[in-house]
Amino acid sequence: MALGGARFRYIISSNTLGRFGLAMGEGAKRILLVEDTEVNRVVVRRLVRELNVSLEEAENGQAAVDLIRGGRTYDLILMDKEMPVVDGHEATRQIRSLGVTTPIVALSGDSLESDRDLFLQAGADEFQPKPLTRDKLINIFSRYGLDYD
Amino acid sequence: MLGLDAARLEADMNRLMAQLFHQGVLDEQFMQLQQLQDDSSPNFVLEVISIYFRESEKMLTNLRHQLADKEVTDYTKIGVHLNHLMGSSSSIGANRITTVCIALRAASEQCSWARCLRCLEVLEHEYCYLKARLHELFQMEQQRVIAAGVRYRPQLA
Repeated sequence: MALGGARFRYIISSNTLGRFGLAMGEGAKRILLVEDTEVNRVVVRRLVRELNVSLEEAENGQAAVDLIRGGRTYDLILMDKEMPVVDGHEATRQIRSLGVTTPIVALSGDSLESDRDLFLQAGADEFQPKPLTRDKLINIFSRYGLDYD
Repeated sequence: MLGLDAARLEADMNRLMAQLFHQGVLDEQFMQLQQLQDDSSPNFVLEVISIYFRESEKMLTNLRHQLADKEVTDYTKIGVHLNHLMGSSSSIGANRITTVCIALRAASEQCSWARCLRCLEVLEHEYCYLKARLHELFQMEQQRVIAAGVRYRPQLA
């Protein structure tokens, strides 16, 4: 998709098999991962594979905002900080300005207070230092009422 | 029961892993990656590490390019490349590389070209070391799989 010279790529993938090899039900929670680093996307994709959630991915903040503007809804958004085109702070601000109240968990490789404050001011619900582990992800899901079993 | 070759290779792999952890080259996050590997994703670690090497080499080239000329060094761009490298390095447990990235970022925030260059040299050295050791590990695993037909499960004390 080209937009004024910029190129955006959306990756929409679903965990089609639950833990016991069953197709996921209609009630599977929808997570949006906004992350430009491919390694991190691959790891999170694998982490959520055994959890009963559906994962969609956006490679930068602008792509995430476009998905939401286009009508897609999510139960949780995992938002990286440093991204090209539109970074995590700005994407969070824009998503909140659209009236979206989906929980947004900010992710950053830094644990700087300033980073956390900026994200919270932009409208994020929580700030998590990277890397994400399976336990951290499960704790996040539990905090926001996402059934992952 | 494993054949002698497979058992020896497993012992060698455990020793290499222990060495890399003891040296601080790798941290717990690498173990997390290995735990995500299973029969349905038998090459998961290799896949992730391959992507990491591909991305990191681009970032290192970009950093080297940015620091090529002191007069036109863009420290903001250095920060961008570094954040990308730090993020992916911490995701795979490349602990020493992450640490050097932090030092390089501090140098770039102070706009110290000489310090940036020194840190970059250390970073490149650490990257080459990690890449060589992980290649060694993957080669041993490949041989072990052939010898015994089983996947490596790390035994870290």
